[in-house]
Amino acid sequence: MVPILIIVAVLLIAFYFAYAGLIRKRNGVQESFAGIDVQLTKRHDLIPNVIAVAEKFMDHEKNLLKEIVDLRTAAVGQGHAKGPKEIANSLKAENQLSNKLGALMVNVENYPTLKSDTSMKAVQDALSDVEENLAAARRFYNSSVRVLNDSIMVWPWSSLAAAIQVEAYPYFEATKDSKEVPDVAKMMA
Amino acid sequence: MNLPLFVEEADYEKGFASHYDKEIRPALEELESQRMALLNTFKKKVLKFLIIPWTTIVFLGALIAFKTGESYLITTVAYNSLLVFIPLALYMSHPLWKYKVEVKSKILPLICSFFGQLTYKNKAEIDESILALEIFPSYETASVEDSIEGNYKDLNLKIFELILKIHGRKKSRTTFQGLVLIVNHTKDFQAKTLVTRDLGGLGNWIEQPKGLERIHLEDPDFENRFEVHGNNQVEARYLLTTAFMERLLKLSQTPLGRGIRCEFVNKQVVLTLRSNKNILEPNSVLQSTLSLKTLHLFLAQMNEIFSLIDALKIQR
Repeated sequence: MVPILIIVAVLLIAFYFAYAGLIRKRNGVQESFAGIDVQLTKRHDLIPNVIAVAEKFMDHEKNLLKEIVDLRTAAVGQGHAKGPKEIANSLKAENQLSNKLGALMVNVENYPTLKSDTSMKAVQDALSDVEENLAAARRFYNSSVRVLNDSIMVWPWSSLAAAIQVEAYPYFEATKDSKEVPDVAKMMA
Repeated sequence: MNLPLFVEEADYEKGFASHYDKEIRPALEELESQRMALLNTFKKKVLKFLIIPWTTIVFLGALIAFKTGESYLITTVAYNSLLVFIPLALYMSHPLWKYKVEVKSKILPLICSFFGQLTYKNKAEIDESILALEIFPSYETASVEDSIEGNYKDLNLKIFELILKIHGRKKSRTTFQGLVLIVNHTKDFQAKTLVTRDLGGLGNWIEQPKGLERIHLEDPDFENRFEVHGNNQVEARYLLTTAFMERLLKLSQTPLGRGIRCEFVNKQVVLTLRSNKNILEPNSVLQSTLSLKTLHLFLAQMNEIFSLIDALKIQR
C-alpha cells in the first residue's frame, strides 16, 4: 500500500510541476508579446506624424498614404492580443503595415525637399529607433515561443497541454513580401 | 638611416602607408638615432664605470687573498662590491627606460591619429565607479597606463591597459591585467547587460552574477562561447544584435580576445580583454625602435576593436 501511495504522490508532484511549467512558459510568451506591443504602440503613435509631414510634399503618393492610414487603423483595432489566434492576426496586420511603411521610406528618396526636411528627419530617426527596439522585442518573443512550443510538442507534455488548453503560439516570421528582394524600380515608378 | 617601408597587407591598413611615410617614419628615424646614441653611451659607461672597476677590484681582492692565504676574500670582495655596482648599473640604465616611454609618447599618438581624433597618455586616472562594475574582479590597487582617448566616428572612447592587484601578507596577486575599452553610447540604457565567457555548468553557476537573469540568444556559436545575463530581456537583444555578436565572436578568436568580457551599463559599453603581456610596448632598446611586425599587429588589434564599435550600430 505504502509504495503505491509513494508512486501516486510522485506522479502528482510531477504532474504539478509539468502543469506549472507550461503555464509559466505560456505566461512568458504573453509577457514577451507585451514587449512587442509597447513598441507597436509607439510606432502607431508615430505614423500620424509621418503622414502629416509626407502629405505636404508627396502629391503623387496619396494612395500609399491612405493605405498606411487604413492599415494603421486596422492594426490598432486588433487591441492587445493574448491568445495564439489573436497574436497571429495582430502579427499579420503589423507585417502588412511594415511593408507599406518600408515602401514609403523608399519613396521619400524621390522627394529631396522632403528628405532634407528637419521634421521628416526627426520622425525617421524616431521610427528607426522604434524599429530596432521592435526587432529586439521580436527576438525575445520568438525565443519564448520556441521554449513553449518545444515543451508542448513532446509527449507527455503534449497531452497535458491539450488537456489544460495551452496551445502553440506563432513565430514572428518575415512575410513573403519582405522575404522577396524589393523591385526598387517598380516602387519608384 | 634606412627604415623599411610599410607595405599595406590588409584592407583596414589602406592609407596607412602614406600616413607612415609622412608622420611616423621621420619620428622613428629621429628616435632610432637617439637609440643608437643612448646605447653607445650606455655601453661606454658600463665598460668605464662597471666592468673595468669591478674586475679591477676583484683582481686586487684575489691578489690580496693569494698573498694572505684568505681565499674567502675573493668572494667577499666580489659580492660586496656588487652592492655598489648594481645600484650604479640601474642608475645608468635609467635613460634607456626613459627612452622606451619617449618612444610610446611620440609614436603612439601618431599611429592613433590615423584612426581618428585620438590622443595618447602614458599614465592616466581612472574613475573608481568604472572599476566597481560587475565586469571587473575585486582588487585593492589599480594602475593604468598607455591610455588612448578621443573621438572615433563621433563617439567618445577610451582604451587603456589596466592592472588590478590584491595584496596578501606575503605577496600580491594580479586579479586582472589587460586592455579596457570604454565607449560612450549615444542612447541612455535603462538596464544592465553582462557578457562573459562560458565556463561550463559548474563554473557558470559559481560565477553567476546576482540580480541578473540568464538571457538565451539565438546564435548557437555565441551561446556556446558566451554567457549573457541582464535585467531586461528586450534591451539585451537590442544591444546584442546579430552583427555585434558576430564581431564579438570574431574578436574572441584572436589571441587578444580570449578572455573577453563586455558590460552595457550607464550609457557606456565597457569591454575587457585579458592579456599577460603589455600590449602597447615598443621593442627593447637593443632592437630597432619599432618593428613593422609590431605595427601590423597593433593595427590588426585596433581594427578588431573599432570593428566591434562599428557593429554596436551606435553611430547616428
